[in-house]
Amino acid sequence: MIMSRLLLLLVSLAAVGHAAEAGAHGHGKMPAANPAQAELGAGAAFDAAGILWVVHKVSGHVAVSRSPDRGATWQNPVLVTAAPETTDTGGDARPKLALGPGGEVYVTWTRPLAKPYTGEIRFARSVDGGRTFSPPQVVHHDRQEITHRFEALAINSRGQVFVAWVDKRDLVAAATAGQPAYRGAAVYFAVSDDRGATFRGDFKAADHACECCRIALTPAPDGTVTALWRHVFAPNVRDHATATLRPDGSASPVLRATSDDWRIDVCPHHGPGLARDGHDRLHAVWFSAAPQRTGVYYGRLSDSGVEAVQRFGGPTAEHAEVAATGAAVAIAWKEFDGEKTRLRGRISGDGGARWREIELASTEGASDHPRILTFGNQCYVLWNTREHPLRVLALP
Amino acid sequence: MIPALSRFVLFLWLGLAVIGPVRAAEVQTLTPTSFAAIRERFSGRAFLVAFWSVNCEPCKAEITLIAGLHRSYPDVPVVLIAADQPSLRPAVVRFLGRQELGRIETWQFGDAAEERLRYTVDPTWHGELPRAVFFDAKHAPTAHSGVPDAAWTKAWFAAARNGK
Repeated sequence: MIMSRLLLLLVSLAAVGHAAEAGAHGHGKMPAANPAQAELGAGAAFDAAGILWVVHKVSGHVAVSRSPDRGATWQNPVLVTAAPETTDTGGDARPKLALGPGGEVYVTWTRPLAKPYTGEIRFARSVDGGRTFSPPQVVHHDRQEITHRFEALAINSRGQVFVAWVDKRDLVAAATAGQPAYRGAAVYFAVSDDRGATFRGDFKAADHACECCRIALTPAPDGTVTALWRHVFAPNVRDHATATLRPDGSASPVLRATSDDWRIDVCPHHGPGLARDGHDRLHAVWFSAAPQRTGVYYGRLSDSGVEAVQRFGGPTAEHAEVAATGAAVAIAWKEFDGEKTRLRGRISGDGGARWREIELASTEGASDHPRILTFGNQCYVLWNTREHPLRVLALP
Repeated sequence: MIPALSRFVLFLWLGLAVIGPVRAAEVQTLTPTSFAAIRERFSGRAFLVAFWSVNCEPCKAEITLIAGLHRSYPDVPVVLIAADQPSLRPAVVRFLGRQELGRIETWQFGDAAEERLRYTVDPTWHGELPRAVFFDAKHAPTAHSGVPDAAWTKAWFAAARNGK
């Protein structure tokens, strides 16, 4: 009798202990209960033959899918991570994909570490046409358990691989040295000269970036890469800054890009978009919630900041992205109208002087931010929604 | 010998049952109809809705401020909502388990579109965090992005307790 009661208690105790363990370790290597749920973040690019490549989450794995026919059909995904892997998916975080000139497929994502707000930037590549991927490697040499998040990926005109990210090592160093609090985070980057086998870095591009917004990168004809990010100008102005990242690891001085004067201590979760057209003009889109300047904006970017600024979309417009090809510029963004999330677009055929707006699609369920892509002279939007996964829309 | 061990095991079992990770069940899932029900429940009363995320470092200061004021004004309803997707439930529960939240209600975004859930509470909110919406007794909202000013928030709690 006593023994059986004791046994019952021991079984109960084991059950409680197991529950505690599951609670404590659920964020680690174990896949989430339903990894497919809400993990809609996707990155994409067209290759030279017009095949569309997408990185997304499949059953908790980072995976690459491809479509030979602009999204009408998809081949079976190729798993990039052998095991399911937790990836940063909230806010502006999602995996990225870029293609090299020799058919290389490059993929990056952020893996959260155990401590809150921390992460590491992971990279994998395929040099056999997407059949297999290398084991993931960490891009940065700094291996502290701190913020390395919101990575961005770009291939320059020479085929070198640039990865930039938001990094808090300078904040940690200032705190350790007893110095005044460091404002925001920093932008660091690394460069690979050997198709992603190894990376040189870590190179600092800028101090005082915002902590939780995506970075926009676009390659220039001269081998450099232009970066645009949400900055923290003193004391707490979350407008945007730009700099040129060079293959040798140096960077130009940081220039102010936008001047909305959004003064706030928040995580905006709204990073900018940037594209270079065929005439070497830069087109930027961004979000501001400054009291007199709330909404989504477009402007042409030069060293003196944005000009020809226009607000577009309605009061709930957000998460705009821009692409350009030749003289054409295209923007896509989301708006929630109280019932549905609408995907809207605007297109300019003359480098951003005149625009026409179009309704592209809508959904009632969860959806990723739109990805805007170009192939030849045509612009497309990839919109990964729960209702219609990996939907591809051609802009007229 | 055995009864003594039995008592010890019973002590451990009861102890774990009390302090164990029971918070998971207390984090309710926010659906597109949840907020209308929350509002209905607080009819005629001022209440505060505070949004946060496990990925938002400034949100820690928001929660500390609000939890502290909740201890001073426990009768003013506070609804704490994690704007995190369902797969982050373990991290949300782990974070909340470390806070002294008293009777603060805890919620987390379900798998509906994030922008729809935001819209049900605060149509003017674009997702920046932390975000707090102070509803007066007539449920007129005052929304604030960033960590709210401590003195202003304390005055709001004091007024809310007095039924304003």
